[in-house]
Amino acid sequence: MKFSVTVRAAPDKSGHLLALKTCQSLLQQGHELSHVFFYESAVTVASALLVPDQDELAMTSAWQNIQSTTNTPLYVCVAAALRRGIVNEQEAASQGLPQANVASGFEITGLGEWVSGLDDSFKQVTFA
Amino acid sequence: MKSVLFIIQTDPYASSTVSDAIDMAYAAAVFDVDVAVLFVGDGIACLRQGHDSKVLQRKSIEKKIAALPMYGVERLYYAGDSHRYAVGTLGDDAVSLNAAEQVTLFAEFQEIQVY
Repeated sequence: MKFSVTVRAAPDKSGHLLALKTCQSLLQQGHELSHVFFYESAVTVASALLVPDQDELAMTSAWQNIQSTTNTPLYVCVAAALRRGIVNEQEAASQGLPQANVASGFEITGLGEWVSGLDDSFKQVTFA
Repeated sequence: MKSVLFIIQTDPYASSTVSDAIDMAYAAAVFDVDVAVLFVGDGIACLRQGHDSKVLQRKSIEKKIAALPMYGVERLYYAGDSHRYAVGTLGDDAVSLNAAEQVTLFAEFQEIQVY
């Protein structure tokens, strides 16, 4: 079955970890993920500048691993991202910012992609 | 036609949560999703009249809610039994629902997003 997953919990919240574990389990069980959509404070996981404690789960890498092994798009809401300092090259240039910092594998996009997940999937599951 | 009910249970200015929820409702409605919004608990304060968000230098949630019909979101509700959460007068854009009516509303929608 095809699922889309929305993550709203910040990466340090248990809801975010639950979202990751759910995605990993869905894929292991042979389900498809149409995409993962990051909204609200969850977008901060898309920063290439996060440095987790060495003995803790590196959340950004874990999502990147899902993306690279399954081609699941990792969509990041642009408005939520800009407010929280996550920018790609294009946004950095247009906003006059000194640098971009979005981690590879994450795609900055609009809420339209979230809506498309409603159509593309059997179930949309949100973690807040 | 897809349908999403947004349930807002958060204070309008405690964080950007309500603003984000309404942005999501706008987006869904623009893409022809059938959208309604139900305010409950602390979220009822969103419907209070006369927000002055200037002191916070934030966008007025009252104005964001007033713009919902322009995006095609005409159905606004609040939990009548949580009315006590809001001090002041509520706008008349939203319809009061009792618990049984809220359950009927939940059943009508394919998706429910709780903010």
